Amino acid sequence: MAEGERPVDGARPGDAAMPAEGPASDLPERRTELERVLGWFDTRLGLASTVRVAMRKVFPDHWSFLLGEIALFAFIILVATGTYLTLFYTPDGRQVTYQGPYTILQGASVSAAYASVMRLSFEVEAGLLMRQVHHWTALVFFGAIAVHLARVFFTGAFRKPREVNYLVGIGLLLMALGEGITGYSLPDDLLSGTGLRIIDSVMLSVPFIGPWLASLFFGGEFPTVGILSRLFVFHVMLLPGLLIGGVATHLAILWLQKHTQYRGHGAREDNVVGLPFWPGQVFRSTGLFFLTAAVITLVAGLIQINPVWLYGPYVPYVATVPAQPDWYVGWLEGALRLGLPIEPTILGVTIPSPFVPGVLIPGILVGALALWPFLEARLTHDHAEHNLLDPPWRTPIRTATGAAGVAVFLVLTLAGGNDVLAVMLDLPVETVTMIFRFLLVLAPVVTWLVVYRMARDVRDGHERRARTGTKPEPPAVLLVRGPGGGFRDAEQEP
Amino acid sequence: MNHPSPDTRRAERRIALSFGVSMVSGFALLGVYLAGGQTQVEAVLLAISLGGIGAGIIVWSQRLLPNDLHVEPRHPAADPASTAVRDIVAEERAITRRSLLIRALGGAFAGLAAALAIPVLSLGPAPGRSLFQTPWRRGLRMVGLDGQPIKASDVPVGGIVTGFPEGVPGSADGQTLLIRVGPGLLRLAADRMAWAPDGYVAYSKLCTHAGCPVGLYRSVEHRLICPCHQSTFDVLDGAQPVFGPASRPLPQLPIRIEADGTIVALGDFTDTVGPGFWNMHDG
Amino acid sequence: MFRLASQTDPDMHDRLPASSTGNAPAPASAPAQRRAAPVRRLLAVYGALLLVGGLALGAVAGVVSAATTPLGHVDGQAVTEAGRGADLFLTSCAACHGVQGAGTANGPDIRNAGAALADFMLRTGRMPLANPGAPAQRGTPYFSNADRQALVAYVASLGNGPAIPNVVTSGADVRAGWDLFTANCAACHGPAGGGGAVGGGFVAPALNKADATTVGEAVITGPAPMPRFSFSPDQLDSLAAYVAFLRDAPHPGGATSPEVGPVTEGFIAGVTLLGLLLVARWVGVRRDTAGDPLAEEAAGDPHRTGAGTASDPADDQGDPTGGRG
Repeated sequence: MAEGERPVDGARPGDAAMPAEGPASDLPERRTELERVLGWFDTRLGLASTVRVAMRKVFPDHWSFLLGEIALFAFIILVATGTYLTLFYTPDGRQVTYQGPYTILQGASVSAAYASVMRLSFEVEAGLLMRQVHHWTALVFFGAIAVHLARVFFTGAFRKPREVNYLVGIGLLLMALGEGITGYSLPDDLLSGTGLRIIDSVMLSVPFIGPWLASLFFGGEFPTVGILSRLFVFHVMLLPGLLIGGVATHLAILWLQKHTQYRGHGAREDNVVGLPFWPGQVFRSTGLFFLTAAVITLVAGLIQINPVWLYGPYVPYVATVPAQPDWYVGWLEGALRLGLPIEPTILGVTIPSPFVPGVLIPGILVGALALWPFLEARLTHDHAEHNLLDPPWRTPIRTATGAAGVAVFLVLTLAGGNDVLAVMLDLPVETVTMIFRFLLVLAPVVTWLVVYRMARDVRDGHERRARTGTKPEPPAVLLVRGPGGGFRDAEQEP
Repeated sequence: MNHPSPDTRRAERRIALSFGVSMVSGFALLGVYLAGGQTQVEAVLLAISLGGIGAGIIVWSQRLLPNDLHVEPRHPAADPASTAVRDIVAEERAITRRSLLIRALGGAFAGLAAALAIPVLSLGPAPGRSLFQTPWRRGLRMVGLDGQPIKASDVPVGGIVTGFPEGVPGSADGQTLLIRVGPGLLRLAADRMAWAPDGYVAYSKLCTHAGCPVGLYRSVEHRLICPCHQSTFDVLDGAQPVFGPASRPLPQLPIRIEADGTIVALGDFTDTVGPGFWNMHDG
Repeated sequence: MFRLASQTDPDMHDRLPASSTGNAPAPASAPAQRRAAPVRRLLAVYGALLLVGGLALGAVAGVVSAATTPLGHVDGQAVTEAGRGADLFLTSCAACHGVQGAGTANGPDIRNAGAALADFMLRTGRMPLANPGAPAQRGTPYFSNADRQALVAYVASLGNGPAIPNVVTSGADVRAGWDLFTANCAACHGPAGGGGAVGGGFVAPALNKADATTVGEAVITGPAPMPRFSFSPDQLDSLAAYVAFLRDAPHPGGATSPEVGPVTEGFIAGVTLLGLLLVARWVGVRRDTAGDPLAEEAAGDPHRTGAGTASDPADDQGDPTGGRG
């Protein structure tokens, strides 16, 4: 029987040292440095016997459980670098004369905020590195969140009893989006201001309260001098505070409920099989933190991001192409680009064209994502607790629905770069837009049908094998969707 | 076990090497910084320093730590037989006139919420007429960013300039595109034709979709394009939208060309400029 | 003697004859390669991902350097010097632009194009077109310098067009150039001169190959679909100086490209994330020190069909990184 099931309260009262793993014969006779230091604390705080139980907590052994950790570590890097950036950033939209070393702009009228970002980039030693690490980490952060969410969704980790933590996670995602959007706006370069202009328009588009909403958020009619200091409060105080609290809640609930786990290695609904928190998981997580930081730092230092000196300061009358948000907002931008030129006036109330793609559709998508655990429980009448994860093929409807959602997200995200794609593909941008409008309807439907069929075939094969105890016959035809949207047969791995 | 296996020894050497590289890299980074700094070198050294620690720890955990699986029992969050919730509720049930008090408390909270709306409402002015208006007034000359009046001769056929109302160069909602097209090409309603003398026509530069400056002009086809969402407007046809998500034309600015070549507005734009809002047609 | 570059020789597309101002641009491929080198070194870390990145970058580069194959062929030796421009026009241009340059259904009236526009079109290889419908993109110049000059002089004689501007960037006010560029050019050509789609199938070209004279010619003539601008000679000098500055703009943050923007950045972030997934895959490797003590329990699990080994299909959750790690 493994050590984790041994009673842990049987330790001698004076045993203050951290329990070491492995056979006792590995331990040297004399007390190590670590033991002495921890012992000093324990004789004063008396925590070791409590902590010792926690140290024994078992974490399931699969690398996909590390995806959320990458997001967590990215968040830690964001807080660390972001704190550094606040020491130099000036959240002030008032105009100053640029006097820094970037000769082109010398004497130009720019906002104090923009000037401070220029100073960070050109005058503060290693300031540019910090800025670029911050920005690149933000981009990776959302990617890590996305794959973590995908893992949770496609394996059914959100089912009872974890609906609450799933909702906390969705809340974290939304707050992170808020962080991304406000952070994108703070440098007050041309892309920043263009993004704010669009946010203003989407706010204005809400029936009845739109003009109020925009006026209260911006403190007047766009553009306002005071918006940067407001966004700054959101970006460095309000949202980080909520995020830290939310992350703590997310982890506390996780700790309380214990991880889900994949089948195999004796995993059952009523146990957790894996490595103990100490030393196994602590070593893994610590190592992963440093490796995450290393990879991001390497990219961030070698590849330039958001060269605000080339974009120039925001002025409301200058346009630039291509104008894109950071990739995680691309789906919202894409929805606006695919929007139809329809502005009906119903009973004297005009519905401006950004409302449906900018408010209604994102609201429905996020709402559906958040409510999925409850929808699924209602549809399947499955109200039991689930601690064992489903392989995606075991639940064809959920997997197909999730894949369709991913297809919608991908189409919208790519549509957000339709003008860049048009140049790459050598097509008129209008054609690209029409293709995406078409795909937005077609892709989720086709994806749903194809993925459903694939998952069902795999599941049936496994069930046949379970019934007969023989190897399953491979499905007659397995369709694989190619990058061009076409289908081809694929050999299935036995 | 005083004699570790060769595998263990090898792993120890690798880990020590990893930490050593990290240490050297960290000190080297300090040296580079003190010597004047170079972003790319600093990044590589920092990455090595971080990665060395990370890799060392992972190899340590994989090669030197026990990695056998442990099993921990798991219990439902709450015992189905538990009466904790019922007990808590029951204690509250003993209070009389419960529903009345709950309703009264709800009312109190509603009042408090209304009171708390006051600081929120102070965040910005009430949206008034400003959304319906721009600084353009009858008799104002069109100026460039430098505040100097734009002359008709500044715009060649097939040309385009951004102009502002006199006195507010850089105005966000008063920004105007002055475009000159070849003679006889404009297809405007009769009254609007008078506002576009000699092929000079002025439209609001704010996109009627999301308010971006419509700065891209394909002079041959006389099409204006918004860089944000590719709404496309036909300059010859009153800036009617021909593609993209915008559904309203760019409002036209009535102008006249004075004897000295300056451009003078005959009034504000023909319609509300920029992105739409629910009561925009009440203006 | 000028020779046509073969389609498989990409370096030839970058080669331009020396301009009239002597401000010959360096082959643009060299700085581009120098900037791309750190990117490639980084991508090499991800092994197979290099291919994906390379393909995407190649697609961009391919569009930028796409060249057209001109129609027909002219034997420059056979015509006399005096009527050379007219003869060249008849054989290479008149089919679309008409005998007197008045235009046909296939090509616009160019009688008032002037020397500036003719020189712009011919020197940057935009004309003659491969076929009447093709977009006029930068390519290998078709005519020799002498032929081009003769042809430009002939087009200039057809009407009242602007002469080739004398644009001098040395000593120009680059700051004023930045103002002009931001207000008038960035809308289509991008803030860093990387170019962009302007709708209708048109692409505002990247400016990294445009020398001072080319910039000046384009601004005053408005080569379709570009609008025209009435800039003073000083303004032209400033603008061209800023475009020249953009070509070697500082990139203290590391590797970059003129097409830089959130789309490229998002793609690189995706590659970085894939790298992190590989790292996580490695971090998650468990080296069994004591076998699998629980294998016997697995046999009792109704969901399981085999012994508890890592290769059990039920454990195989699909590996988005393609099984490497």
